[in-house]
Amino acid sequence: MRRRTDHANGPSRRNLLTATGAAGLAGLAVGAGAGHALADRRLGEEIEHALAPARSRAGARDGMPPALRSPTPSQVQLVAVDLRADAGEPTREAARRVLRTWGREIRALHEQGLHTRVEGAPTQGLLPASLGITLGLGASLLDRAGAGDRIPPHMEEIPAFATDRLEPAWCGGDLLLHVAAEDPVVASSAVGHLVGAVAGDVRPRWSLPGFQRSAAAADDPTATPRNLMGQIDGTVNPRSSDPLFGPQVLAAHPEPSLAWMDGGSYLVVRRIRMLLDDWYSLDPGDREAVIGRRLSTGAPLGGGAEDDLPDLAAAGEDGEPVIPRDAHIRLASPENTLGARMLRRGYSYDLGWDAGGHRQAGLIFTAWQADPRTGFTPVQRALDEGGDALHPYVRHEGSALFAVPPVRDGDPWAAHDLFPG
Amino acid sequence: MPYRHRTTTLAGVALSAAALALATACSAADPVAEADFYLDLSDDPMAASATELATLDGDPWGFTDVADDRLTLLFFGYTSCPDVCPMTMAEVDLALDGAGDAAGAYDVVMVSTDPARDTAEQLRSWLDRFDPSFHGIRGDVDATVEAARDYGIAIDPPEETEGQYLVTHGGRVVVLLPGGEAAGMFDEGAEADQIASLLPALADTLL
Repeated sequence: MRRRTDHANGPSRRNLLTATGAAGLAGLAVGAGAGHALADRRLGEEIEHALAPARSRAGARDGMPPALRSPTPSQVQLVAVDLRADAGEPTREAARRVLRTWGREIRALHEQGLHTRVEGAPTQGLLPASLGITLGLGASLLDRAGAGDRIPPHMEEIPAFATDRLEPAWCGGDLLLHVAAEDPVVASSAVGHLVGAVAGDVRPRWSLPGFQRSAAAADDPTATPRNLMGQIDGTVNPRSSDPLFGPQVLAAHPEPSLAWMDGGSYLVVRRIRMLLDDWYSLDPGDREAVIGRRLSTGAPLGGGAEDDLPDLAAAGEDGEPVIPRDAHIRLASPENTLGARMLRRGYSYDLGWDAGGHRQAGLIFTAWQADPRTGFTPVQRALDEGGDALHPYVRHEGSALFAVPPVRDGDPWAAHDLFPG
Repeated sequence: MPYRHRTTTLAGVALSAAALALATACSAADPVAEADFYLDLSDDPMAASATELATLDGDPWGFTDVADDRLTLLFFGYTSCPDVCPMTMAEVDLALDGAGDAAGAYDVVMVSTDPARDTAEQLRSWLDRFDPSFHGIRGDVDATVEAARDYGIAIDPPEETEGQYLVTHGGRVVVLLPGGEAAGMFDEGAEADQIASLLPALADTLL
């Protein structure tokens, strides 16, 4: 199988360090001065690499919204809103106003930054920070706008699972803003600006800020990040340059009525609280058995490297499977889910402790796919019905499904086919 | 239930594409002869398998029923495969996208090596992820194994032992003539741009 490569990401820090070591040896042979110069240059390259996400501008590319680009910025804010308007034509008009306003403002934020739009904005003096804003539409919006016949069957409601502990206030939404940036001030102020710009038309339903490790703090900024449980989270994700990316992530809708989503992606959002005290009371070996991967490297149990294919048939000397029968990766594997696949993007959240002394921290799990019926849903069903060993340590408390339309050149706003004007 | 996949190669046809390409090379301008990722059998095509399988609508289907005015790219695989099968179909799909007008000279057929789990609905849904025009074929598993072996592709029936469910898949993509004979094979792992580079020439010389 072909190995994933993404030349756009440049060399990894690990490679740079290796090269630095070799250069250092060469430097000894030709003199300390030359060695220092070379080491300084390598250090400069490392710093450049770490700062690249802060200095970059994001935005859509090749029709894909910024949320699908990689590497992902370290900060994210998700805000789901409902329209205030009554059903029917008032909702259609309100949707058009909101999408028009957001289309204009998002373009300006991507290209120029907030401080060029708002005098005294908190982003003054900050770099672009890879600010990327992605819009999603909920089925409830189309339904209330009288466009039920244009809801793709892919948006059928996610079934209830026995292990769900959903809070209705943290579910659903007419529209979603997914705002990511390498800096929390850039992300937060963009969200405030966008919601404020349409405040007369929308009512926030739920919101959640999330984060990953920053590129500057990462030993290897290209490595798969870890979640709050300490697991490497996001292995096996396709790069946008992989042949499987399109069939796995991007929707195909040749039907004219659904053309507004042709080339888009369906986003499932799950708010998953982690019971971190319980988790860390387990021995490290037991934590590895729950997931089926090594904590240190992310390699599947029995394997040697993160990208190794899990050997689900491997047995130990005791005859028991090396990857336990209820391990998370076994139950979620394509072999166990009739080939279900999705692009998984996890962000941690940490809201501190609530009044009852419970820590409100966990994972904003975002799953991007061509069709949730052959992506998230069968995987979650397999975990639910298979007795996922991870279940005692997590609570699914929020859930939503959004259609994320493609970003088309020339269209003044997202889903323009659906809400023209 | 745990599942496992594996790829096997029939010893009798383990001749490398590179070796055969050397043996049949005729001119530097022939991209098919030069390609070290393609096994050219056009001088002596393998006979069409006489095995009977079925379309996803349940109609009888044989390998001589492939399109009579196009070439067919044939793969033996299964939908629960974690890597090779979806990757192969994605490469073929991309190759056809990159082949321009020549793409119209090809059909794509995947024969399921796991017909018990690959129901007609499952196979159709899985192939639609790549291209709704791709054809799915399924049938008796022993007949499927026999058909694959007729084309030099070694697979075994799914095997369940001690709770393990083992499924095999082919590696190569077979190029079938309108009569179902095999005129060549792309090696496992051939990439989309490699496949696309040969599709016009194969259509020109084989149709």
